[in-house]
Amino acid sequence: MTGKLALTLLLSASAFFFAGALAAEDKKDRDTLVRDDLSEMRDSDLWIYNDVEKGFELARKTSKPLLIVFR
Amino acid sequence: MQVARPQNLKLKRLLNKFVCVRVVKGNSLNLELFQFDYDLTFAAFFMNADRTIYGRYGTRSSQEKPESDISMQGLLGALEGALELHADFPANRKSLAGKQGGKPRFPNPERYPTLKRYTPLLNYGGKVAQSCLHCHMINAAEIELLRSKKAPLPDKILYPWPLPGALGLQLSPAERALVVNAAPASAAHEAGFRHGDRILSLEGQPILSTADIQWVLHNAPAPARLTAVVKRAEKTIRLKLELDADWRKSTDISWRGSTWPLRRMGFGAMRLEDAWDGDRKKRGLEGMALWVRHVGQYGIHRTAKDAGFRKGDIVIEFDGIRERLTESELLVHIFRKRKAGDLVPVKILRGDKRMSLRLPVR
Repeated sequence: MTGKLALTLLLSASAFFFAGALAAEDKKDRDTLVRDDLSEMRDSDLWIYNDVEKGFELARKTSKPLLIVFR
Repeated sequence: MQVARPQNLKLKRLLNKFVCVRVVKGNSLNLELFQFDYDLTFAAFFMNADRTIYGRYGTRSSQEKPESDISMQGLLGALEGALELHADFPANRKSLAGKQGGKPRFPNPERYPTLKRYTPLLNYGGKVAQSCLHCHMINAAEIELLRSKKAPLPDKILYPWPLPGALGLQLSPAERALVVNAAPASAAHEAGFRHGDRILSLEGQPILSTADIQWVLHNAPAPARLTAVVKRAEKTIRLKLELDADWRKSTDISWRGSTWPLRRMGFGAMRLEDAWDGDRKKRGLEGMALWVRHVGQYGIHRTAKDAGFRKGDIVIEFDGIRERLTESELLVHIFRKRKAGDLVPVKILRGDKRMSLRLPVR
């Protein structure tokens, strides 16, 4: 998944939080949507998925700041 | 918010300067480190690898438009601000210390009695959506716990994360802490805030976003005296905000997911909505006129139903109060003045008929 597409997912309007954010995307059930989300994000070269400690570790190695998004 | 636009190349360029982490679950959330408005649909932290917080992003003020308070431009500005703070770190460490919250009641949400069924990891092999602990459940769990202990609900729980509007401040969602208006006679106006001011710091903390202001307000006492530094034209000006004992009172909590437990305990699971002026005029209503928009039907959510309330009723007197109040204000009255087990007298209009009911507080 490109960073752009990942961000579209992150920031697209939604009335729900977390898994609920995906509910309106299409007619898939919520479980499938959550699993699809994981599959897509695993391939992201920009985002670390659900692993804050990995983010801190990488930030230490690269001296970059962190952006941690809860969505 | 769309990002697939040419201007979002800037976003991509900025994001490449960060280590980006996305978290889609509240399970095992570090509640000491990540203290934010848990009712949000989108929240972000800007941090250093040593866990120092540079700032927060994410604000919400209504149910209908959950993201009208944030914007791509606002996020870009906050990202740029975070990079500036990162470049100055650790020289600015002292000014950032206040961005970290105190020790929470529990280290993670699963420790709350009402959230014990959740596990640290999502169940991707099974019913994964059901295994997800939503962040708004954290506030609700805190409310349930305090109520079960018959402890009073503090203002910080009843009015969490006050918006700048509580001070009379209106900020631009498209800019970094830019004042659009300071309402006449408000605390912000009295302090000297003016249209076009850029808030640089509040209580010494650098401000990247409205969420950063909310963080300071969330932790402010009542009454309070807060110091702000603003940039006006080329000048830097120090302003003093004087907040009275009830400064949080104008905060609207009706949109919050975590307000539902309050409704269940205080209103017997009814959702109330202040009648519009047109309705009031048509029906000759003055003072309190709260439409019953929802009545819970099952289990622990049927208290109001059992007490005789119906959707479409209009509450015209509640616990002896006849003055016009919002649902949020009435909820706060209940939790300040009433305890579990009390029977609250309520007068309603059902069509043209006036009725008296008694509502148990849970």
